[in-house]
Amino acid sequence: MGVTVGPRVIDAGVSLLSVLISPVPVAAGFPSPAQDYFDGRIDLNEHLIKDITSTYVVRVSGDSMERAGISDGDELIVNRALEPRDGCVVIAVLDGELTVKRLRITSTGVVLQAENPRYPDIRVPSLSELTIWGVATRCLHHV
Amino acid sequence: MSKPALMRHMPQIAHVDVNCFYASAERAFDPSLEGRPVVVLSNNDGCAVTRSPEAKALGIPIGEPWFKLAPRAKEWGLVALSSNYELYGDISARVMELLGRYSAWLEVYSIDEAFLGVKGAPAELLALGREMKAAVRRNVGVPVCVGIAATKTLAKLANKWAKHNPAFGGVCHWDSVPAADRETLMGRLSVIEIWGVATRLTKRLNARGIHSILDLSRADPVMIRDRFSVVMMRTVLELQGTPCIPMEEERIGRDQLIFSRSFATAITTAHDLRQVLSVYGQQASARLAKHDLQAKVLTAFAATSHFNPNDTSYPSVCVPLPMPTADPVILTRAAHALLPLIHEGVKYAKAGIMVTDLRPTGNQAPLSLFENPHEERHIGSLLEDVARRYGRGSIGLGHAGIRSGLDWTMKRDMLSPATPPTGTNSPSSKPPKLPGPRRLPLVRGESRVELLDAGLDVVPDQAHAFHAFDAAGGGLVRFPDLEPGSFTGFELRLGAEDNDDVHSLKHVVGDRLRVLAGDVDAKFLQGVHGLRVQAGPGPGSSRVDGDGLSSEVPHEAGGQLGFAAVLAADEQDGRRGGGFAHALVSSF
Repeated sequence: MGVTVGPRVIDAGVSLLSVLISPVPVAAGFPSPAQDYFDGRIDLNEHLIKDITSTYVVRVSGDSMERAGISDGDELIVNRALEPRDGCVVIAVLDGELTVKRLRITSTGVVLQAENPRYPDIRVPSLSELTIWGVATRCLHHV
Repeated sequence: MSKPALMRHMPQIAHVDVNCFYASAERAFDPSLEGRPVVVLSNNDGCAVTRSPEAKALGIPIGEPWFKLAPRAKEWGLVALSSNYELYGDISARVMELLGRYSAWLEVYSIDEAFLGVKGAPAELLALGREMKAAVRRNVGVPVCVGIAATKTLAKLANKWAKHNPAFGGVCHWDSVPAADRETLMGRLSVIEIWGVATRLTKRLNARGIHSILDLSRADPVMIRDRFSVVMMRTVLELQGTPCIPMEEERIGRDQLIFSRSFATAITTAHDLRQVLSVYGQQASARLAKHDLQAKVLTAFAATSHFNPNDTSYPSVCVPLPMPTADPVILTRAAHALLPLIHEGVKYAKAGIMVTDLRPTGNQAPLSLFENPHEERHIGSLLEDVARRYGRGSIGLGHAGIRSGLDWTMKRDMLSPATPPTGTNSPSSKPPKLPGPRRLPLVRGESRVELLDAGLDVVPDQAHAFHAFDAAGGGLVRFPDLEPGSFTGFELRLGAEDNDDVHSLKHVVGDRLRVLAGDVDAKFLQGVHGLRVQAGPGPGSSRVDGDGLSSEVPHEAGGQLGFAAVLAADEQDGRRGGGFAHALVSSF
């Protein structure tokens, strides 16, 4: 699964990224007592981006991460400042290309795992031989 | 780095710059470019403006036209990329923000380099340099080199050394290198290599037996001052380790202009920051106009202090402008795009704007569709003319027109040098009664600030705003915002201290103000019935039509204006501070 990375810079704040959040929970059941405290708006920049200096938005192409809920055309919010850990979804550099995979760090080595049985795992002897471009923190999935 | 160590050591200067900036910025997003020769071409794909080391190794000179490179590009495996100034501006802002976390004393020198004030033991400085290098690489994705020394000139030299000698690992602390090695290096490098020595001076230096940087560093500063210039003397002193080139906060770089300051008192509200950004927007406009440039991209940023790690915030926005422009209104509005990112209550220690993708004015005639209503009316040059005559702060959009009374005052004078002091170098055209920058007798304090900033959002309070202005002898011009239907507006403020001033002010702005008003009048005649204006006491009352500063003051309390423009000037005699010229042009 490839990733198209912007020369598309985050222009957060230029467009208004505030949205009204529904005060009523979507799930069925008892109404949430929290709805009385609805305070109107949520700033998506603040909600989604912790460190704007090191955060980029990338667009995903391909279906190798389908089972992780990351589909073709989705955007990932990627924080380069985070340390890649076992289980993270990362943007890695493979053969000069940016690719999105789940990072597995085990005693026997490092694996870049696809979340789709049709794609093989990619084994790397150690983390030091792998360039991790950034750690994905959120997926903006097109429903 | 422990506090006591910080206190013991003299401050030093770190020079940080991005290696092959444009090429590195492109590579950050396309790893396939790694290791390949890359050139980035100038506007309209003209010439190679950045070369990766691989491209340099091919012998491609800087500025080589693309048509000369194109035939051999395939054979070389050369990748040529068009400039993407939005990207470079964004990456630059990120790099600068990150560096700002390491020092509250940051001078952004150009789009890809900065000076930082640093303190510490040699080992600590080296560690700091390495940490900055690693952080920029990791967090932003571009490689930098760092030179640290006692002076700017030496820091730049150290950085150059770090770039060329892999043994440094990209970070060179000048004082940590054995003196013998430093002398060898300086002896090997021609004076042309040093920062601040122009090509044409090299010959003259050579004629005096000064060939290498080492020669220059051993020259007698006084002789250098006498034979060359104070500037050259500073270079000599800097090479000898005496800091002579002060940190500056604004400088013309290759492709961008930056206005950034640290505040004496931290800014904690978007409201205050709005004022700062307004000032920057207009400084940028003035500077662009002075150099006959227009910008295509504006980046605005703010940052908390590095010394306050518990409460950090580094918001920034990169705003592509609708057209290449030097228009103060557009630039100011673009800068205000930062405001939604400001956290109320957080202490911002500095803020700034950067304009990039600069191009000469009038290079290409814009389609009339994109013509800008403010530029049509020459608002920018009007502001400049008034500022030249009456000093910075005598006029401005919104808050930028207020010279004093705001509590976010800068460590250094916020407003760039205005008119020269009394007597010296005064242009003869200047009215004799106005010796340089003066305070305007306007209301000071928060209440007026609130009113001024209110914009059209608070139309009901308009009457009070105007009243305050009149009482204080100020004036207000409001002109429509870019987007039709938008309710935000900009105030253009004029002020003058006495009657003579009013006359000369009229002289400066009169005709053009009329044009401004007439223009708006025709277009928005029907639009302002909801606007109520109350003017202060005056000698008479009348509705004034758009035909100029006609010595009449509208004063019907709460009088409803059935027309789009009010222009008035109080020419009443003797009332101290009572002379004013004001105008209102409004529309929805």
